[in-house]
Amino acid sequence: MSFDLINFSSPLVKKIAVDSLMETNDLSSQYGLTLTREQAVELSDTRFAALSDNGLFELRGGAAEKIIKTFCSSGYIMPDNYASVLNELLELFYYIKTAVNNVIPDDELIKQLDYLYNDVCRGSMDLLTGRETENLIRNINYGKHYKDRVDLSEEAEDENEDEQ
Amino acid sequence: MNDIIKKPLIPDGSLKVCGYFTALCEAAANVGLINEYSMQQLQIRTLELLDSQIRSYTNDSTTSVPSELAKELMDSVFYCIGLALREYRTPEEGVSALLNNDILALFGAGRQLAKKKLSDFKNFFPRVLRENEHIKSQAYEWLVQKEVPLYVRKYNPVFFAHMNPDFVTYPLCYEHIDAEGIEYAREYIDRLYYENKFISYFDTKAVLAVLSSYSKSYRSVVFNLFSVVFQTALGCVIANRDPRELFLTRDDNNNNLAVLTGMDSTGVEKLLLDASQALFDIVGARGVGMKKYICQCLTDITPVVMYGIKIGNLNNIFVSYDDTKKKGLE
Repeated sequence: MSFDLINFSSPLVKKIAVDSLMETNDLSSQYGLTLTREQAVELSDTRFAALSDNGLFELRGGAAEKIIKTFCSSGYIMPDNYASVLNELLELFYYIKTAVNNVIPDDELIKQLDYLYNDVCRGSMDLLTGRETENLIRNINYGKHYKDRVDLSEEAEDENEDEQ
Repeated sequence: MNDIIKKPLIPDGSLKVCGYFTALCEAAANVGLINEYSMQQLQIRTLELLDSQIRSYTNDSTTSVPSELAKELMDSVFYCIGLALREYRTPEEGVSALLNNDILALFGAGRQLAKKKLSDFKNFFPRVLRENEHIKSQAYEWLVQKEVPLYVRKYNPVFFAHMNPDFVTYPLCYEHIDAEGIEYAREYIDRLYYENKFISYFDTKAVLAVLSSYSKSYRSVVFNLFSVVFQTALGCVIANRDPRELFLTRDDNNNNLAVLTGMDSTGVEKLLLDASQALFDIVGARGVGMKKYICQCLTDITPVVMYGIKIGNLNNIFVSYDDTKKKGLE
């Protein structure tokens, strides 16, 4: 018996993740959305692949759980596209996290994605994954809302002072 | 019948200090003390602990962290639990604690132990410095002035209790240490203390003469100061000279070579061990820990002596220098 736990291929880590995703059905079923065990396994595999591609580690339901809790009330998500939208959102989530060097907290990023998907893209995943994702990354990396922006502004001020 | 002693399923000392927690779990599983279900429960509880460490480390702002960081946090969890488990009298008592106690409590106890060991380390370190105020090299000074204080400042028993120090500038005579984290650091400076203590038994001038004969620019060359002094003292004992003077001529070393030639490494190690015991008596060395460490050093010194025998030259191992230089130093 091995104690190698930092390993996505560990059956235990996988089982815990799938169980956590299945537990979200309690909430999402109120909106007519549920994951089958197979879909939960697929979502979990997507998540582990995305985590692995981005050199990240996460336990239990992780961000997937948070995404489900936020998006299950979306009027653009139907039972037939629920699992596929979740898969795409999850991939997008980790892609953005890595692209912005983890500077944005999970909840804040999910809030941004929720706004973009529902209010800007009106449920279009193509729009979200294309134009809006790049805009979002640019905004986070150079925008006003995050702490690195403060550093950048300070640098710019310093440069201005130097020039003067 | 009352004299029959039950043989332990996991003998004391059979597990390495490094990676003790996982080694104990695996050994316990192998002898049937932990079944598959209990093992899985342990793993689940450990993962929950890791999850809470990740959340705490990131201030709950993210659930995902770089894999390398997760690995470090997990190693620290394992290390702290291992520290707590080693406090039990036997490995089997440790297994029982694992199965019956909350793993969080064991982790907390281990973390407290790491903090205590850090505090002990800080208190002990000035003693190491006091033992050697005159015999220094640049590498030694870099170790005690920069590397050790930096480690003490950066050591984090909460998240990275397992982290080993980067004591890379100054080598010890015997460097193999079966320990991790603050225990590794403590073992390192314990050994440094023994080395300094041993050097302090000799006259400073004699030590400086040996070191400058070994290397004129000994202050800027990286080598272990103790091993040069110790080896020379051993050479003196073998040559029937007073080791306290640390003085050997080339003729003495030729005689030493004649004594040693033809011996195999076991014979040489035995002779060096006997010489060490004689040396302890002559210089009045006390302390079981120091004697034990110095005898351990012979494991690394014996091959050096064997090489000297092979090339027919012991002058740089049992450092020799001529009489005129000695008189000059006086």
